[in-house]
Amino acid sequence: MSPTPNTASRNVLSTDVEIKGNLRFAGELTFAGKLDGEIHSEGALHLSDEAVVRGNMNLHTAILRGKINGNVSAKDKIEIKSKGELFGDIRAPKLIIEEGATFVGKCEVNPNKSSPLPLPGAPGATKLPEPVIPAKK
Amino acid sequence: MSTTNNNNDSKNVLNSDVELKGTLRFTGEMTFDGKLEGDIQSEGTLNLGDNAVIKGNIAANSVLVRGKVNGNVTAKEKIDIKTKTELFGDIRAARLVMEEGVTFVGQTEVNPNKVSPIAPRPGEPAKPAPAGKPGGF
Repeated sequence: MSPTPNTASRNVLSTDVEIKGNLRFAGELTFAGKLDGEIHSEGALHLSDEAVVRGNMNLHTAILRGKINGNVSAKDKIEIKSKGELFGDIRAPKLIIEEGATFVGKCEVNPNKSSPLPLPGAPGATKLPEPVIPAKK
Repeated sequence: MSTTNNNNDSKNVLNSDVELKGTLRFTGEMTFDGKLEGDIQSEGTLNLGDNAVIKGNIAANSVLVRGKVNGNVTAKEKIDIKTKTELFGDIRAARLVMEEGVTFVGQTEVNPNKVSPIAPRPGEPAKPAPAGKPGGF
């Protein structure tokens, strides 16, 4: 019997919690404590305003408040709420940032895998019509 | 007596039929929906339209970003990135708002309250590299 990982198990860690080490969960976690380590999950993480996290996070969905020093990657979506402070890099298909958030780092949010505009003169910048070469006799 | 009233009221509009090569400066407000190859510099407000295509850097007091931008965006006050925007470049502003559905690849430096990152773990490399030039686009 395997536990069903994606049922709504709602885990809660409040402000009195301090963890040193890596944290894994499958369903949902609301975290308001202090963590020195990494978080890995196929589920959803909700950080509260009081949360302090030092370490990288790898999640399906992340809603970030509090203070974070580390990289965050999500399979689906990252939201940085108004009072969130994130120093680290972000990678996700979807990113939402509320006004007031602090975010210093690199960002890779490219849901449609677009590439930057072609440089002037590069192929594709302006399509020239096929030249008609007159047959030389 | 001429104190030119240069800091607002002027509402400039460039529509999607406009193509511009060079540097664009204004002081009041500008709605830009055309193509620009070059920089925008302003102490005012820039509103990009969905059709805007910009290859160059933008510096203004506040910027509302839509369309496609390949370059860095700096705002004294606020950058607002609307859904469907494609931005390849770095961001620096006091405040940043990002809607869901944006493409954004680059670095950010958004630190409204000038907070420093929480102290890194001992023996850990400090923090992400400070925002600078975009990496090789």
